Amino acid sequence: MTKIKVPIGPQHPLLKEPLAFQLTLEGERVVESVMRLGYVHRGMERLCQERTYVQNIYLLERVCGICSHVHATTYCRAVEALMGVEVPQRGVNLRALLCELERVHSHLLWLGVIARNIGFDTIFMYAWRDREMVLDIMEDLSGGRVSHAVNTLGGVRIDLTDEHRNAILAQLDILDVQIQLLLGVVEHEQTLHARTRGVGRLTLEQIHRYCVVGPVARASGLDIDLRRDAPEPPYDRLEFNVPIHTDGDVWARTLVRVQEAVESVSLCRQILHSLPEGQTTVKVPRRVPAGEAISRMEAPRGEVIYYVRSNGTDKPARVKVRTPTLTSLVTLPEQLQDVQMADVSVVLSGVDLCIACADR
Amino acid sequence: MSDFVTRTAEMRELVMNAFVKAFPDEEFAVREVPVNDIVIAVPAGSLAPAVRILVDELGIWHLSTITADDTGDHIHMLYHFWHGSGVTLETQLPLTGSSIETLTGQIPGAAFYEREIFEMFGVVFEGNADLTPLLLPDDWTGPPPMLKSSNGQTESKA
Repeated sequence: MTKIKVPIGPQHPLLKEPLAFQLTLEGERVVESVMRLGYVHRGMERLCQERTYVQNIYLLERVCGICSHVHATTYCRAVEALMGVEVPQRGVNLRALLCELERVHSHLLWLGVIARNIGFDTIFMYAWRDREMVLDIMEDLSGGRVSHAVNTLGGVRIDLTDEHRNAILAQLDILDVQIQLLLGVVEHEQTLHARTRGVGRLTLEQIHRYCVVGPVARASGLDIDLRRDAPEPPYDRLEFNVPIHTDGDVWARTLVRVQEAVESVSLCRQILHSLPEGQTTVKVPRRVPAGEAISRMEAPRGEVIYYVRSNGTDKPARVKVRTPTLTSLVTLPEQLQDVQMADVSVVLSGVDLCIACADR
Repeated sequence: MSDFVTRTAEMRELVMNAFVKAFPDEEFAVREVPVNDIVIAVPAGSLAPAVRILVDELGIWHLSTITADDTGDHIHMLYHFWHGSGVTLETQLPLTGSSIETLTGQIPGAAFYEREIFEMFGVVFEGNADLTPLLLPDDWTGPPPMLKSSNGQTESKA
């Protein structure tokens, strides 16, 4: 049979961000795929060396639009560790509150995207309507829907009054009901099952070999979550489950993400109910002493790791960022092998692409 | 999950015992780095065998990433692993013309990290057949962009 080459991207209705694929098809079956990254490469790591530590918080927030807060938080944790500074508990809790809200936002956004890509527009509309609720909460908290600029070195620049806190809790009650509805759809809706079950399967052994993290790994049975495995405050006193499934297909990943969103809403409630009194920020020394720090956090897509080296000047000598999407992207050629052309959209959506994260 | 080491001290003991047994003639400098990592200095030639010990003997298979850093004198390579606590293997390579054995035979997940370091720092990973550009454009003809010498930068010291 003749082989046909089908390009997907860099601009394509499937893709929210530019990414290029060259698929080779035999009939309807993909026999080879070549992927090209780098269309949104902005040279963030190099730019970090030209900016002060505080300026870098705002730069690194823009590595990704959806997980902006967790990037800034991981960076701040690394720099605060270098300075030997401890953020007050109220500040730590507020950071975690935004991390969890961001997780809900990311998963709802993704649910809408994958629903759109399989033609299930109703769920796209519902998920993105509910996402608006989360964005409104984040805007009331920080002033920005997507880019929050909440972190400073030594804590956060926002605070909550009791009235504001109760307003957020009321919104979370409504959000909870809506997400449970979406979870019901994912669990029972036959068209979603037909499109996503058995597609893009990754075994646990492949997860190990490719060092995959996040919901993609958890959907294949890997029981990891940095919030639970390396519990930093406030996660050391909060109760939450980590959803694990073993099917390893796109449906399992959908289940993991929506269940994680449910857990995150519960975490937000717990944080708000037990918010410690006190300062939200602490004064930090003028100069960052020379040294290295390695900081890891659980972003919506998995483990994000920052390596920061200071040489005692006002600008970092090296900031290395590895984002979780990169670990899923490396599995795509294997996932796309022998997949039907019609399932390519499902496979690509299933890994929760965040190309801005991968390219930096 | 129950076999994940949960503290830095336990990780240090576990890994150092295995290394001392496997490389009896070598001395490894260990230091602790915040937030919860230990960093073990390994000669460049022993890096791939050391990784084999971590992966095959100790079950520490998760490679978080590989960092390369131009310190002005050499390229500082760090291989970050995670197993309930962080363990990082570090080594030094010369600024130009350097090469090191690839990890992709043992850990296919290292593929993208090695490609990025090759294009950004010029380090050749021997045995890695796919060192094509990952982030830089196909028609890039300039020097490796993250090397300080490529940008007229020097390593400033306070």
